[in-house]
Amino acid sequence: MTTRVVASSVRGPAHRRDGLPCQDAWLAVPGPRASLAVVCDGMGSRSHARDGARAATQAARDAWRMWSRSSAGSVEDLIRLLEVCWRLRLRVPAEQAATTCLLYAEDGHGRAALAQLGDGLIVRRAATGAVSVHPARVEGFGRTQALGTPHALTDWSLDLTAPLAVGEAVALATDGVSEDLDTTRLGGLIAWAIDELGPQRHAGRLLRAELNNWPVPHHQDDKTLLVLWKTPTSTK
Amino acid sequence: MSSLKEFTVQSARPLPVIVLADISGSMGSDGKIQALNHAVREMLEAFQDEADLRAEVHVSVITFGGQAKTHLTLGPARNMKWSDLGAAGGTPMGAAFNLACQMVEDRNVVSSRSYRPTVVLVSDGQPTDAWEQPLAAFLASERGGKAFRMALAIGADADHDVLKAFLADPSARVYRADEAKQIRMFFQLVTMSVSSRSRSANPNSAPAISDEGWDL
Repeated sequence: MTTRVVASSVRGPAHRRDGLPCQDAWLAVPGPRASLAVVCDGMGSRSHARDGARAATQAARDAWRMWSRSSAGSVEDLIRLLEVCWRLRLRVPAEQAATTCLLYAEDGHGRAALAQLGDGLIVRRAATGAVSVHPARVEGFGRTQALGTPHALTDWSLDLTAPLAVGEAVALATDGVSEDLDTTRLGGLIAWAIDELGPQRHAGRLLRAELNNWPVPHHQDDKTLLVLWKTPTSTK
Repeated sequence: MSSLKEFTVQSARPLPVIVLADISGSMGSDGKIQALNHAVREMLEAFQDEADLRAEVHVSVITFGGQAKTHLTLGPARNMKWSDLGAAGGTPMGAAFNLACQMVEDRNVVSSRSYRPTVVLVSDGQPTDAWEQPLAAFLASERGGKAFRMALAIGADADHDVLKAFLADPSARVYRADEAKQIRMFFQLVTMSVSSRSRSANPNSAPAISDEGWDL
């Protein structure tokens, strides 16, 4: 079984216009034993949002490496580790680096964690094509929970499930993407990423071009989309 | 053409503006209802002329005069045509709060993509129905309580306490119109506030406008 990933983050028109960098970040570790995928959206109103988002992806990796050494850890343990790692990685005040965080993490022991703090979307597609959206604890109207804002462990939406099998996939998106998606076409979006972009040599670059050519009127946000899937053999 | 077009919604994110308009019998005097009609029409036209917005402004008008009802169903301002209101009956403000609450809480009406709504209350008198519980329910609702709220007291008989309770924010002020022309001015302020949000980096944040210098 091989794990494949296609992902990209792009600056939204608002940040391009204002000369600001992309404040989204993503990280994926498609491993033979266990895989990790994480996307983060730095809160635009914070001066170090970009740093916060990047640090959160790295903190997720730090935490995942420790967590996946054991088959006994809970999802809550993973998140506790992540929150500590994020603060240790930050070189700026946490409240100035607030960021959402969405992840899919396999532990290599037959379990996978889904975790979401703040806006965005995690959706899983079964081999049958059925899709299930991870239930987010969103505040609505842009009031989002985030690392760096007052929150509790219970503000995370957490799930421990089976890892992806062959033919299954998970997609993670920041709200710049998820708010504009047709929720009846999520399976189609994942299939497009796997079938159209997956076989391409520069799949990430092609996805970047598509995200930069976002078709929704008046869109402004940074955008990140990550799709991770399992294939029976390597199909590079 | 973008490959993503078939997976995305083909409309901008809505920014709802819901006007709760008192059209009770007392609004028929001193040119108040005419001024209200003119002001709302002007606001719609201003939203229709707006370009380069981050959000698409959607407007609804709920009236309360004799009974509460939806005069304009929530929809894009660019498609709206205004038909003038008449003034008659009592002031069932509580029923209007109920309608507003139902509207903002209905995900099929105010979608999850929407930015925070602005809810505007305009009244020249005392409520004639039980308003406390409907207002409390509106403010306690998951989405109603998060809406930006603005209120205008028209004339000396308006119930400032009710309007203040609607704002539910000690730092917010109830605007006051002693003359019909100030109704128009208030709606210009509403228009500026909404336009400011719809152009801002984050339309969910408070509008960056000052009401200093407005004779309200």
